[in-house]
Amino acid sequence: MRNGIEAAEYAAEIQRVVRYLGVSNGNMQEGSLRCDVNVSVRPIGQLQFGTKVEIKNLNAFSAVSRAIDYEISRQVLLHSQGQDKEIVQETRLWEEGAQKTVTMRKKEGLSDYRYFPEPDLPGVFLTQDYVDGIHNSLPELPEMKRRRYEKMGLSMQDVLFLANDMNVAEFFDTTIKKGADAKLAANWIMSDIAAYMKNEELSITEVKLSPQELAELIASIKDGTISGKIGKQILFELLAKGGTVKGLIEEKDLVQIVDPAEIEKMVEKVLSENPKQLDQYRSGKTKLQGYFAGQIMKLSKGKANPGLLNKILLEKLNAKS
Amino acid sequence: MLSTLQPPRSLSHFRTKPLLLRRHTSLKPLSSLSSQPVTHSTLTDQSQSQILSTRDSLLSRQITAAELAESFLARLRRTEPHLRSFLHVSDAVLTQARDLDDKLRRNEEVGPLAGVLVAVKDNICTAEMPSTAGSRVLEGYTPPYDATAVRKIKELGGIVVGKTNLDEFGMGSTTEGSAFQVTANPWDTTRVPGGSSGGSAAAVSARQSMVSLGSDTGGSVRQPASFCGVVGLKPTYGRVSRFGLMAYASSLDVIGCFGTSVADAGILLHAISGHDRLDATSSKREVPDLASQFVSISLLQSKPLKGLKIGLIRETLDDGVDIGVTSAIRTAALHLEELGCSVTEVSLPSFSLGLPAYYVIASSESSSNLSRYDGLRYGNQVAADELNSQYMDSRAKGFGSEVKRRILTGTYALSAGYYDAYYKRAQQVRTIIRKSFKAALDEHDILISPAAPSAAYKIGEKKNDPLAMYAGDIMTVNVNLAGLPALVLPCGYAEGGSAGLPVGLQMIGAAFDEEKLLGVGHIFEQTLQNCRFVPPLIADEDKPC
Repeated sequence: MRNGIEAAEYAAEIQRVVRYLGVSNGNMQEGSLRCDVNVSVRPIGQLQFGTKVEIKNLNAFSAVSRAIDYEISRQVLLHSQGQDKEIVQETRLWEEGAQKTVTMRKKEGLSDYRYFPEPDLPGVFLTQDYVDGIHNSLPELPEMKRRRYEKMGLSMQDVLFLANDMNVAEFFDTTIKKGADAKLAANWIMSDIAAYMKNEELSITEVKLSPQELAELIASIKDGTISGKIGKQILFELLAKGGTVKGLIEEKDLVQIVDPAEIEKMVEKVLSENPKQLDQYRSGKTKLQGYFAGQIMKLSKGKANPGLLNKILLEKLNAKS
Repeated sequence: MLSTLQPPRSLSHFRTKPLLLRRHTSLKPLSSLSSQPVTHSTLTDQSQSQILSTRDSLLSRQITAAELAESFLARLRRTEPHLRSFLHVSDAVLTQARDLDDKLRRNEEVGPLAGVLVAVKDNICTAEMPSTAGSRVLEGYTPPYDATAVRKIKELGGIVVGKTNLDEFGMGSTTEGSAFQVTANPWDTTRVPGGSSGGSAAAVSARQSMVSLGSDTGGSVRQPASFCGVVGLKPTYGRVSRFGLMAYASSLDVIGCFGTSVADAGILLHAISGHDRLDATSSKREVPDLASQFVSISLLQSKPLKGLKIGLIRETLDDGVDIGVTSAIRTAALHLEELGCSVTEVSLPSFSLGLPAYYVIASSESSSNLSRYDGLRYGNQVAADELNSQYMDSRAKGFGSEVKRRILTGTYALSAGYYDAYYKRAQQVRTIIRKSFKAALDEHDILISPAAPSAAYKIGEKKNDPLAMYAGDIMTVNVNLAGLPALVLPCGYAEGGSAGLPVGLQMIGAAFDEEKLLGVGHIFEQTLQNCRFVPPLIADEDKPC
């Protein structure tokens, strides 16, 4: 690898993989995933690798990235000053505060482990069956997931977000398995649901909304049963308390009003109750359309289909009378 | 019963015809109903196998287990002040023997080792008896478990009579390295019994026990067998579980067997062999029936070993070897020829490299294995204010000088800057030696040599000259480096003592080919004229058995 960000991304992918496999939580802060780095530089054209320096005390991916970039520049600087001999094989510590690497205090003696091949542990011979068994039991790894999501037509931003956390990906996959449109599902997850999780400091496995209900929600909006706005309200309720979309619609009488006659009645009522504003509108204050729309929506208890509402409202407003 | 797994060159080409007359010994317990006819042994001479004759006598009610145990214990008590073979004698022997007699009286099934008194080297764990490895560091320590080999013996009805003396942690060739006492050779109590399994060899030689277990890392079963005039059997590495054997050098250690006959050593080996889940280095290979191929000599044809190719290792009969030993070995070679073998000299040029390679490897591995004796886990602790001091003081006080010598040597050989020159190089030599033995055993059924360059020497003679002591291992270490099986059996005498000093013939076989070694060894032993190898210390008894 050639720079800090490559290494940090690679480490992050390792973290993703071990989490996917369920073999570690991969938390660097807890020491479940540790990162030591070796850096060397060589002048362009030189075949032999330069002296490598080990860096320890890296506790986050960002530290990995910055420490590498720092060390690269430190070594390059020494080269440019003709002092490359000062680069010695040693272990340096990354100082997060000072944002630089420093020589470790010289130890009194060198650790000599005196390793020799352990005679009490003979060779382990893995059969092809065993290897195949492991291979077949692997879950879909991050890279495969990302490719699959890409093929669905999702943007790179969506792909990276969804595939980053195994549980989020699973939630997404279950939602679309129920028939929901991939892009819509991705949007819901990445915006409203993600915001809720962040606010409440919950993980996706902890929210009360199930992927099945998200799919139901998306379907209800798509087929016009409820409006998008109502959908968001329901979502919040589902996240916090659970329940079903159908149940909530019924309980709270949230079915969208799509009958033009009914909307027309409400439009006429609001217009008649607000003559002053109507006059102002007819004199040129067209911004008041929003005011009327708000009032009508309120009257309809939020159930009026916004598109239809505005169409009929505009008709009425522009009618000569 | 023939095993289903035949070694590369099977014995069949020189086995005697009447296979049907083979004793149907299996290691499944036989019912002891007195109305059933006792299965006749083809070994009609009782001296051929104490284990089998014990079984016959017990089942036919000629003797009780208690009577048998008492006679051994009486001899043990009488001879122990002269020999000091034992570090601990069990006080439960007669109880176990009487329990066995009860079972027999009730016509219950008893195992194939029922009533057999077994002595166990003190570096092998026994749950009811202290196990010290001959070291102050473990003085007073009783393990919470039996070694697998001990457990198997007990399951088959054997009685552990006690724990025998050894050089500390198996490091030494005389038992002078024991922290507690020096064992004497029953043939001449001013001489060493050999080591490190000196106590186990002396115990069997003086008939203090019927058979015994030892351990062999560089010759520690075979050399004392030679010095004490008994049979010593070192199995292939992996044949017997090492679980419960206190580790000295893990890639070299094996548990081995002593007996007064090849048949007894073979029956005991069969009892303790087999894969053990608790020892990852134990072999999963099926164990052939090592207990039932011992044919009576009366059934042998002339030249029963016709067609067998024996290689006498040339490098083992040169100037460094005592004349008494070379002469006994050459006589043994003639005897084998009389039996029909062809004996040719074979040269193993890498032979002498084994000794330095062994000492580098064994010391290195021991420097790791013995680090567990830190006074914290088990064993004796020297209190100190600080952890490192506690380690140092416990070890300084607990370990003897030979052990310290080997730990330091091993540490040095493994240290940075020296690993390549010593340890790595020694392992490369090991590969050469392994290959040369394999090549020789591809051309020969068995290789033979002395088990030691001399007969037993005087106590104190090599005590202050470790290198001279190490040099005595030259005949045996290569076998450990190559992981091969070997059998030592007494074949003659050298001068010394009041009745001469026994000399052992070493037979080396291909890996896992104990069956062939035992077959050939048995025939050699049974056809050796006038040689019953009973030490003068007990020869005055009318029937030492």
